[in-house]
Amino acid sequence: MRFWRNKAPGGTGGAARDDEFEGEALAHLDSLFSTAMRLTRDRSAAEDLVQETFLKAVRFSDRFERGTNLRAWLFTILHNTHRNVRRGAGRDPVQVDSETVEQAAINSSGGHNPEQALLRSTLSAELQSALDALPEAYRQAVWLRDVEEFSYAEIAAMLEIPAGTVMSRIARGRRMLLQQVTRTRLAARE
Amino acid sequence: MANVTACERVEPLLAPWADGTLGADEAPALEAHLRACAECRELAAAGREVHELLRARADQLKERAPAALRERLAAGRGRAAGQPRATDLLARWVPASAAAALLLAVVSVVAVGSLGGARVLAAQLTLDHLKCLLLADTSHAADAARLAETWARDRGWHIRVPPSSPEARVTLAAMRRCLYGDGEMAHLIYERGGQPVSLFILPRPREAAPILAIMGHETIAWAAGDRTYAVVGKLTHDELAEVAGYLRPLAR
Repeated sequence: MRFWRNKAPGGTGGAARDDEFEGEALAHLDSLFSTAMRLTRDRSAAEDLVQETFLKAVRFSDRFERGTNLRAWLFTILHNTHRNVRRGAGRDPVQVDSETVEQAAINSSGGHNPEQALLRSTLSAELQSALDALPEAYRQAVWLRDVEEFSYAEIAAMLEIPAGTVMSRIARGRRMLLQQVTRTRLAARE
Repeated sequence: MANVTACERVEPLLAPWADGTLGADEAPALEAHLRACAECRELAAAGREVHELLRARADQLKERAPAALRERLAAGRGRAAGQPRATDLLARWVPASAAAALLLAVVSVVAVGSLGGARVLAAQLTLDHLKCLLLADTSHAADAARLAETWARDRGWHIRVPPSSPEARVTLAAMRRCLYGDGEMAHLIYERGGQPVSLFILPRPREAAPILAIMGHETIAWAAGDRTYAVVGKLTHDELAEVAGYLRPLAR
């Protein structure tokens, strides 16, 4: 995708820099792909999303400030691209999700006592399905925090929402995940 | 209901408390509230449980990117090291001089808001035309009906894909989904006399000049119904007009 490089004016200094940039970006490929999978829940859509992310990153690599967090920058591009695609598809998932889930959170609040052993025995595949069953806004916030380990501020910047909203989505998302897993586990026992 | 405000006030603190990143100055107030409020206590406990579980399983939850994707993305490096590109067809289609054209197209798209929507769109399409040649699998001829079917299934809207035609000397090679300003478009890649020609189908009306040349690539665009169509290629005007003439009545 950088086949123009050899023809670009200015010798090879830029080329070496580009190579380095691309190498560093590729180091985050698995992370980006996993996240794209959780966002799209579809393999070919996830591949498209990651490709588009890389093309944009390379296209605008001169805007990336060296020494800053490349991983956060790539994830920001990934989420922006995902948002654009969803907008193009004519709906705003975050709004839809918020309503549904605000309601779900209200309905399910109170009186639930998590069983630790039950949770610990959860298979990773079950955990994956439980994550995928969460509404998108909660799924992406919990994933970015607990699996990808971004800070609250980084997630807020990536998703373009206030940090307080990120925190409350993560708190609620985690509980929804627990309820989802508990339901699956109990059903499996019966 | 006195608790409502107190609960609302501490809600943003629950997630950082659960993963151990809450500041020492804020923790005591939250913990005092947790002792008093069963509902928040339960939410906080669930948060801690799930956070720990996800941390412990993070490596298993992450997936490896498909090898083919990695190879495609790393293709630029492979070539720089002097290895031949994966498909000969592609190498033939993207001569070194296209490099400069792509670079210029990038610059136009980024820098020229003032040039007007039609020109920006043409530049964007030219860029996508070149870009997708690197990503699409163009190694063999494609089945038009199957591509249309796949598109409708994956994307939720229908397109009609003009098939290959020996008379028009046009071969259908691949289909891609491309993104433009406010959504996605279908990108069909054809071959005519060894040169790639793109047909873009945009699902809504756009400002598009009928004929525009950008960086040696000509764009022929038209509107029909509520969709916009554009053909892009580095052919002579007459050749591209011929291809457009063949595609226009068949594309939908």
